[in-house]
Amino acid sequence: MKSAILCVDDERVIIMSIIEQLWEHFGDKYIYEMAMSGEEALEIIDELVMDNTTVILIISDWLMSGMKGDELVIRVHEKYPKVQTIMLTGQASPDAIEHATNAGALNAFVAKPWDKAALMRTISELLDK
Amino acid sequence: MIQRIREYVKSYSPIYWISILLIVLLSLVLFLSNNFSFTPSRQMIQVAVSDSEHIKTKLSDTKETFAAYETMFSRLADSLYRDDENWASDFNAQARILFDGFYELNPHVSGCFISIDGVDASPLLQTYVDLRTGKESHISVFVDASFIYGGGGLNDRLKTHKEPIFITVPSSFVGGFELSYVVPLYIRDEYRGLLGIVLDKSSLSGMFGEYADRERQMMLLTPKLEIISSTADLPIGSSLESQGYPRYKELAEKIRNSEDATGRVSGHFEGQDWMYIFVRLPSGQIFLESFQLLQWLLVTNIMIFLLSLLALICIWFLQKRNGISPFDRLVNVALIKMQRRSEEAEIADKASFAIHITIVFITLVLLIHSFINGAALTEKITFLVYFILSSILLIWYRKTERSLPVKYAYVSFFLLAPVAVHLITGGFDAASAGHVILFSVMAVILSSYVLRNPKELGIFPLFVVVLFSDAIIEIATTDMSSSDTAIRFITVIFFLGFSMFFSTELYVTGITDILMRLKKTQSMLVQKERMVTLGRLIAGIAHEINTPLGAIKASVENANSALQPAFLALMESGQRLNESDRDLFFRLLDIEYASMDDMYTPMQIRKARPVIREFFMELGYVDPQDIVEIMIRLDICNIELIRQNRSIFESANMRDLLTLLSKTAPIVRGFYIISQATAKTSKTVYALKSYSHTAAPSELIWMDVVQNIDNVLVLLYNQIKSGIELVREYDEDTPKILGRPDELSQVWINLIQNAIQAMNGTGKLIIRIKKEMDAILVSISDDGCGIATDAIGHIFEPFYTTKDVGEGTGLGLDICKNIVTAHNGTIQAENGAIAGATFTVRLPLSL
Repeated sequence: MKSAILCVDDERVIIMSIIEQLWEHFGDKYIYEMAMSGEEALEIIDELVMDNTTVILIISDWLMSGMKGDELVIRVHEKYPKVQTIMLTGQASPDAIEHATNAGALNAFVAKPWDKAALMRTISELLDK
Repeated sequence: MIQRIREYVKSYSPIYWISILLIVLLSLVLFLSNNFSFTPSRQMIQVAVSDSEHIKTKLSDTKETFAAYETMFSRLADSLYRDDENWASDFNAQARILFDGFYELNPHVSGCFISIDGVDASPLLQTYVDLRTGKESHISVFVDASFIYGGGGLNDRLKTHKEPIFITVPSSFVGGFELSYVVPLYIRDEYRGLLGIVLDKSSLSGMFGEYADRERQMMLLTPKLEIISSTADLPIGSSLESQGYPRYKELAEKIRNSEDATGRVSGHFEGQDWMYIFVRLPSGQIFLESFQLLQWLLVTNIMIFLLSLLALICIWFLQKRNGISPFDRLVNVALIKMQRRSEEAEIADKASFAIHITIVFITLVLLIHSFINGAALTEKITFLVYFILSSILLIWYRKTERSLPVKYAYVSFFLLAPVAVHLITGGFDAASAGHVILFSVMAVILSSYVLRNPKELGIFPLFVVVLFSDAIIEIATTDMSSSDTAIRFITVIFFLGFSMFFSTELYVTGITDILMRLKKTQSMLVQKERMVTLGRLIAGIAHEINTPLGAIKASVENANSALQPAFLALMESGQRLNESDRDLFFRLLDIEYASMDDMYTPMQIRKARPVIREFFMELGYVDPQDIVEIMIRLDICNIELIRQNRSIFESANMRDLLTLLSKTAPIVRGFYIISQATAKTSKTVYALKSYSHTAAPSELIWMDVVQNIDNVLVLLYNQIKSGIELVREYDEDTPKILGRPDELSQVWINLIQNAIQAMNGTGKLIIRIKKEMDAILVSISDDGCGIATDAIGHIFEPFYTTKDVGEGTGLGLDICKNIVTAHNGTIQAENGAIAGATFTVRLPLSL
């Protein structure tokens, strides 16, 4: 049974780019799921869990319509504390990052535009834990 | 708290505080001026005397005759103090000589004599004067005031002999002034004896005619003099008798026996035409106290002080309540309104010129009037000087326009010169001089410094309050019956009028000055408002730019790292693939391109996944999971598209082809993403540039409103995409208009941001663009909280804000209105029927 990595961003091209990089780096080791908003992400996680797929990582943007990234990771952390989270964003309020980090919900922060190698290294480290 | 006080103090210039302090101090000094005393200058006395023209004429030659008079008076007085049988004949002989001499010099004086007691001397003199003057005058007479003035020696003599003194003021001589000024001046605290004032009734009624009752007359006549309350206390009889002047005994008896009619005046008795009053001169301060008018000044200034204090408290209170000083607000609003229509400044300029002309005209009329009516010389001089001054000022004003130093000099001169002239000619008594000085100090201080800082214009209404209260007090408390007070009243009225003029002048010139500065300030404020808007936009824009940049970077890296495997795969499969396979591969590539243009959302993908799986199972694949994942990775999720190209997927080499495509995908997709992201970035940058490009005053160009608004929407995309449903109802083929795109961008940004704020970030935003015959109509509607009913009339006013302190400057909509007005357009706000508000901007196609 495969584990899933969930990419959340309201820009489709970003998701596309990340998944491309994940494919390139991890190949078909994981399932790559995507969501365009926090709400959708929560829905998908529940669905995946019902399908017996373990979500092991969430890569989320911060500035999205509706639920912001920090709220998403906090809510995911509450429900599925084992899920690793990465915030990948071009603009986030320091408060939000601090908020999410303090809640113990955020494992890593990567700024946009991001470096592929760095992102992959971060992901690998988190997944190796 | 201390910090706030310090800031408040610092926000005004030091001179402002100094002037406030001066006014307060001046009032305090006057308030506490019990010990405040000054001796009137020689000019003042001269003026006092000069009230009677004939006396004034006399004064010119009295110098030479003083010595002679002194000798005569000495002899006369000597005869009075001799206690033998012949004293009366001697006295009369001396008196006759004196009177002859005096009469020669003073042909208009009805009578001037010494009478040691009216009983003895006056019939004698009366007879004599009757002979000389006919029935014109009443005699009893000691000496008239002018003679006391001139006859310093006599005064000394009187002081040496502690005798009762009788001073008679003949009717032709009385101005009322002499009694309150000259008499106390010369008999003040050095002489501590008894003062008897003898008045003939006609002069009494001439002076204080409107006061019927005698007590009031006495009070007016002898202000603040201590009136002996009991005849028994009279030292006359005993002391004089013991000193060997028995004739006084009879007089003293008479006084004792006469009942005190008023209860106040201790002794008076009346002959047929005489009235004698006996009062005691208290020691010290008689001079000051007799300046009853000075007391009005004190009262006035205390009242002014209190009223000013009250006004200040009111201002402070209003400022505290509204957060902004009422004057600041008033001035701000007035100035901004004026700035909109600069012709008002022109009108103000013309108005002040008209006021100038009026002043000159009035002074001219007064001047002519004073000459025609043969007014006193002082009056003529005063009006002449005022006429000359105001004429000079008029010319000066027109020549120098509004050069600031000149204006300061001008105001100072205008204010101080009249005072100087009045003091020199002596047209003021102490009271009006005090007023004038007070006003002048205030006026000059105000005019000099109030214009530097618009805030300090706030003292201007205070100034008006002070003036009005002073005038009201003056009118209410002044006895208008004497010519002296009438003159003062006229002076006050004049100064009131002048002050009103000055205030208007100050206001007009002040506003013109401030206007210049305000224009700068306002453009700074507009710029600031822009920066605030920009600041709010920046966060979103950073994201807007970083996101596509991230995509570009990722794509380049992806493409880069995919190059080698892609080449390998191509080389490898190139050998295996035949002609038709290559054809299929390129068809597959086309499908990939089409799919990217019609990219599925994650939700759609999830729905598509089983369908695609089913499709491949139909084709005979047992476990097509890996193929499905590749398809999804390549975004080829549209089942319709897949079915249309069924032939590709039926190919035996389909798996190879797909793998090959997935190997090259990062390159193909990378370029696709890069081109998309670049387009998006450049769109954002373009919008940003067209918004912030405001350094130079922009020119009117033919611009596309639709594009203008869409640019703004790009800038605001970030705020809109989060929860706002944007509806764009644009008419097709809207014509271009002549306008300033950057300015109009500001309008749209303001209106759209307001709408978003009103909706609290979620709701429906409708932007309509309609074309009319000669205009374009843009309306921006939201379904937010709408505009409060009491606010709807004010929202376009500058500094009006319903937002919290620090949230808005209150200038946003004012700026919008200014911009739209500058485009000859109109802007309106109305509340929606159910919810929200609509702002409609109408822009004509050309100005």
